[in-house]
Amino acid sequence: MTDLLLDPAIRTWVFLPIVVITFLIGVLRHYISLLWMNKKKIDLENIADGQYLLRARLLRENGRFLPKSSFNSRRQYLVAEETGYLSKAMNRPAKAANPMADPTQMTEMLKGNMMNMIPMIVVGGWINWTFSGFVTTRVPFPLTLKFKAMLQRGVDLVSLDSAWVSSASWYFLCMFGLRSIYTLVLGSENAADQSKGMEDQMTGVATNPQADPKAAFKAEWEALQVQQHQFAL
Amino acid sequence: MVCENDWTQVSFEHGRTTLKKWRECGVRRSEEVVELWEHVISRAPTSLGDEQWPVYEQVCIAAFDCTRVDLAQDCIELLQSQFPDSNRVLKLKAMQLEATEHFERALTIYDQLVETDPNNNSYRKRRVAVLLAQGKRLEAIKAINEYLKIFLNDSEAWLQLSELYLLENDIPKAVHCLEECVLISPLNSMFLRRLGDLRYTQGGLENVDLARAYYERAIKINSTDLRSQYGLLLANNFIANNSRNPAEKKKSTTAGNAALDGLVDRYQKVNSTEIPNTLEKLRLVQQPTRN
Amino acid sequence: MSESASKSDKKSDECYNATAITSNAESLEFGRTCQSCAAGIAAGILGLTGFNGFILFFLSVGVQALFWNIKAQGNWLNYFPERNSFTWSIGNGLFTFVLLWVFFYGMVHVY
Repeated sequence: MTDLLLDPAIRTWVFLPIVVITFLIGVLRHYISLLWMNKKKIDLENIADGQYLLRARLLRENGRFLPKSSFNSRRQYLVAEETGYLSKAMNRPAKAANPMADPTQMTEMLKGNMMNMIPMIVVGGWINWTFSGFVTTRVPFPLTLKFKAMLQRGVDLVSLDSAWVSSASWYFLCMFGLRSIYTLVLGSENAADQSKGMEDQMTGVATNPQADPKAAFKAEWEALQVQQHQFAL
Repeated sequence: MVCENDWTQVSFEHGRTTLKKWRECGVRRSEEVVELWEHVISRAPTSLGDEQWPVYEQVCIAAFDCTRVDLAQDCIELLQSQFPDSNRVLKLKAMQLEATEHFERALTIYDQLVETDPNNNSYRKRRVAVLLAQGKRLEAIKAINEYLKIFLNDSEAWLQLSELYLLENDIPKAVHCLEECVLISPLNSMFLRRLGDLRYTQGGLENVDLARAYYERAIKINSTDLRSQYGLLLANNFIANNSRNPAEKKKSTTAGNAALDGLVDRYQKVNSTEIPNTLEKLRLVQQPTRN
Repeated sequence: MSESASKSDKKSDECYNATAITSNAESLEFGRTCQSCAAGIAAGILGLTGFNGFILFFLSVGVQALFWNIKAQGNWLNYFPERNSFTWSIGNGLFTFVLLWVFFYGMVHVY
């Protein structure tokens, strides 16, 4: 197959701008999210819950440095039938299980989702619209035909080699590839990489005990119950 | 770390980074901080940009520490004009009241702060500090207990509580507190050593055995821990003298001798001629069992 | 390129200092990103295609692992719970590498 020749103007006005725009949008997202996200209001009970969970974990991990009687009394304090904190927390009536019931939580969620979705849709749409239909570059390694649909969005040419990349796909490639570079530029706790947030949503990881404290308490309670004490010293 | 620097002569940039480092690591070198501020940083505080506000806070706290009420007052006024209704500035004011021994008024401010921002544990901790400064030990114990019901993974508070219980001669409770500390950071040799001390003080074969285990662990983590070395020696001697089990007796005798040798070694490394009296005596006591 | 682990943590009975581990991991992440960037730029400018580019990438991973191990003075396990100087966040690195490779290849050789 003869090589395709691309107009150098495409490089200047399509290829480069997409990279720069993607990068800058990521930086912008970071700062806007810093501005928007007001500090989450956590009430005292939630803090205490988190602390008790942490404590249960510490007891499991480091309990081996305590003599058996001390370990058992601490465990009893946490998991005793009626009075233990974990047992009580497990059986606490679920309040505000429905996020609709709490309007502040709703707005928080909405804000978070908007931070994720709006730039994606707006910028993606805008790039699609402005730079539509260009073949921008070629990946320097051979790819199978299956990648054609992925890499050549917006360019429907049957005979084009699958190594060529269209402008819309180039944008998505940039978005995912720039992730670790954001980490480099903005520090590890950045809000720029939206793909991470998406992953969290998909797997439903409960990073904070707020998400479902009861389940976390139950897991800790069970783990502590079966924990065998072994003095390590 | 002993730094023989003359803090009045360092460059501005160096002073700034040093202050930053101390601030972030929570180093309490108040006199140096005040010196650095007066001789170096105060020449051009505005050139710090936004960093000047934490610096003011840091200097202010250091000034309380050195009873430089005038300097602290200046800092507070500057911060007050920048952040008119900040809780952090209010806390500084309360600390100023503390420093000038207006404890009751400081307490009211802290109570108010705890009410407005119950999640911030530093206000509660300050309250305890006020009670301690007033010498109200029992009330302080009560306050720490309240505090630990919520923030129960704060090893600082547990440590303080254990010290207070010790002052009340309540060793079992102090042991409990230190065990909490060990749970929270099992790699801190200081906690392990103190726990060993307490267990040894409690007496009885079982407790001394525990003490020995803790001392061993402390030495394993921090091999230069001289006090644990002494503790190990004493605990082993105790076991050797009181154990009914001959094998155990023998084992602890050799272990005690090893600990003694380690101690002598350490002293010889530091100072080749002098071996302190106590050690010499211990050695003499040990001689008969050794032969 | 090899911004390696500098903070040591106390090793005793497989106990690791969590903060030190996090900081070490951050240094590794930083090093990995820099290395992938450099390798990607190099591959793109050199105009490597096909497997040659990936060979360059894995070569640079190997060199970096070597550097890291030298920096850790042969005691990798003093700094990290497992031996992962080769595989540390290699997926992310590959992503970055491919992006920069494609980018520079496109800039230099396609047009």
